[in-house]
Amino acid sequence: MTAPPLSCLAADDAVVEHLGPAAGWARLRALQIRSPWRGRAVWAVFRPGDRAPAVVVKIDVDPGSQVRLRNEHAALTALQHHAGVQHSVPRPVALQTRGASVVLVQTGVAGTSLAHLGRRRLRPSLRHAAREHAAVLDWIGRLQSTDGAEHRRLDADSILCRIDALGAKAQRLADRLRASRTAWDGLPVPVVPGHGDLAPGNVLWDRGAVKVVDWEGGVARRSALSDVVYFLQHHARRREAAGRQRRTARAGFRAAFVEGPLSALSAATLRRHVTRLALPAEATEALFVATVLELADGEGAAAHASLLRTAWTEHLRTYAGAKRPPLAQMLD
Amino acid sequence: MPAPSMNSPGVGDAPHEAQATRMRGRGLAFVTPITSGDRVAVVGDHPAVAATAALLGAHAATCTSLAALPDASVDHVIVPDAGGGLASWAPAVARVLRPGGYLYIGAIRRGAARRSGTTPGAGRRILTQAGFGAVTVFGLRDLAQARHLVPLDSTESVRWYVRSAFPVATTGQALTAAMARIAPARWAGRLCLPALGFRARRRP
Repeated sequence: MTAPPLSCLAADDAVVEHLGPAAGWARLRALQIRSPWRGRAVWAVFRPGDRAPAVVVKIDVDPGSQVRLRNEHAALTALQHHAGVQHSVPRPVALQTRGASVVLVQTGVAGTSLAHLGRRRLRPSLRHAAREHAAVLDWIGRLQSTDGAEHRRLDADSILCRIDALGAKAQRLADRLRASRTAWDGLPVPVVPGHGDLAPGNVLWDRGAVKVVDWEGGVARRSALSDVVYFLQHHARRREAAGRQRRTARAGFRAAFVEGPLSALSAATLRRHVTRLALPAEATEALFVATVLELADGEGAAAHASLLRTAWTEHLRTYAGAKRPPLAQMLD
Repeated sequence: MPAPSMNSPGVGDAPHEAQATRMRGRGLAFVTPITSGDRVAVVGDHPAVAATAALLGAHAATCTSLAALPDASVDHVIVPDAGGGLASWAPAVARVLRPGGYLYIGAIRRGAARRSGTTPGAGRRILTQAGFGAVTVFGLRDLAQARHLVPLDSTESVRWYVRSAFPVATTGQALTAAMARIAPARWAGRLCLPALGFRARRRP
């Protein structure tokens, strides 16, 4: 018996075609990567001389989470026909069911995650953050550039009703949204393919190019702003430099959208995306609030939806209680 | 969508220590080729390893020593932290492991600042003398958590780990990582991977 993960690979024709004849596999080396999931193992398999893994193998023995590997395989297969991003995502090689296990084999992707790059810096850098925002925004734009996008119209009554339900603390936000209502009521927001878990750990930086891994949430259609808002919040949470603590979810949201230098940068990034979608810039705050409401409903982020609902509901309260967040200052 | 078994990045403010304890060494269950029906002995307080082996269909149990186990009675032995060094464990493991069975054993690496512990070569020699073959040596950042297992005979793996996965939490670690990125792979491994894991197979 061969030790994992090569024992899972040899029987599959597609894998053999990708890696070459099994006779030469004695020179392959597998690095086991930590996985937070119960019953999951992930390996990066290297050929001699390779800078990036030749393949990444994921095995899941927990019936409850095997669907995520099937989702990922379906997403990667679909993305191979997407001209905008097909070279910036892994290519699916094989999906096997072996006894009680599901095995997903995909090509490795070169690059270092934005989460890791942040940790490596000796001090926080707004310039680097701006560069990363711009690159990821460009990548999201390419992912969303599909023909025949559907639209979902913003319903002002429904949104304002939910903001009013947050209580007196949300009065300022409700007043601002009412004042700008004509700019956004009934606005058609594109519903486009999205990632659903676009955290800095899943975004790899390879010599200035962005690559995105971990498609376990699938590539379902989502509001055009949900990936951007999700990314900005998680980007603000990461460890900005060595010696800095990773922010809590709430502190990360505050840093991203409520106060501090990063929040001004996030507001500018969000506004740029809104403009790119050919939506009015003065509707940015309303679009942001509508997106946070969607995330709180579990619509935008497919990967960890059940866990994220509570968190985004809390984030909305935090935003509603802010005196003058940068997104509101843009309206001046 | 099923609920994940831990808080994912970005979800609330999880008590990280409790989470780390719950997950401790979980990935070690995948280091040896455990299949359904295999008998697995996990040495030490590592219930997550045994639980994951059970998910693989194995009959897994944790124990504090191997003395109570009969000869050739288990298919896999996992010793996440061989506190006393490899030499004291290898004969005991060889006794309880059936011929063709697998061993994983972790130990602290001996370095300039640490006279106890073992080296890849010494560990390999001890295991070979105790009747094991097909020895693979991994480098680890921490023995108990065993987050990443990096094959030390692969320059590519070590370089990738240093570049992309070495956890940098402090300024000192950032400097270590910066040095490791420019050092030869052998020294990079020594700098960033202070523990060793050995996978070996008892000769049939």
